Amino acid sequence: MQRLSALYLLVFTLYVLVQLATGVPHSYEEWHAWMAGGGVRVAVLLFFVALLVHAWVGLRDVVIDYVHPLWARLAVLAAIIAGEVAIGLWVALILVPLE
Amino acid sequence: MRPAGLQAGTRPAFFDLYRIRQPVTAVVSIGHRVSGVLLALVVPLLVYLLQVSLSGPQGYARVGSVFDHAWIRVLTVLVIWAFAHHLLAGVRHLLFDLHVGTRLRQSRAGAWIVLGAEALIVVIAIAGIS
Repeated sequence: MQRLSALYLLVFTLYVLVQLATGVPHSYEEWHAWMAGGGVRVAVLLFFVALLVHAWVGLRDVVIDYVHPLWARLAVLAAIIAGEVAIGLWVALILVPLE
Repeated sequence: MRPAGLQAGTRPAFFDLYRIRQPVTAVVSIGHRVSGVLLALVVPLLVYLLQVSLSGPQGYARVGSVFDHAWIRVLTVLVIWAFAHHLLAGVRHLLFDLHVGTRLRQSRAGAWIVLGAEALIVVIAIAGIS
């Protein structure tokens, strides 16, 4: 999972770098139209899914290494899950209704 | 003469931090963790900027003017460092999965390449943003 999400994040990053090199959006209209385009919107949504999965696995490993009391570990992990789910919903609310 | 606080039979301790030298691979490894946690922490900020930038022409202009603040530019350089380090060190790990660069000398060389490339990226970022 960590590898698969990393690969997607890597490919997406390269795609964005190529886009930036070939032309930065110079106005709100250009930026909005680019983000609202079907392919880009799906790619960005997938980017956030991969990002949140990747962050979850990474943060979980770090927490397990450094937070030892079971109650504290579970509390921190639960907070991270809640945060990641909230961010995911927030992104969906931004991108899905985009016209 | 044993330093105070150490008892016989305990594991050897060497706490002169200025004389402890981590191998370059360890530096890249801990950097991977630190940069990963930092990147995870700035995700909400990124989503907020995305939301404001798509909210209308005023929001778009506001996101552009955020970079007028010096501390935002410092944070941006920090995030670019974290992103560059995490991506490059991550690629090094993916290459390990393909059994590329797993021997000690190659692994060390890879770690130096990661540090060199990220230093270059940070210099370019500082030049570009200031």
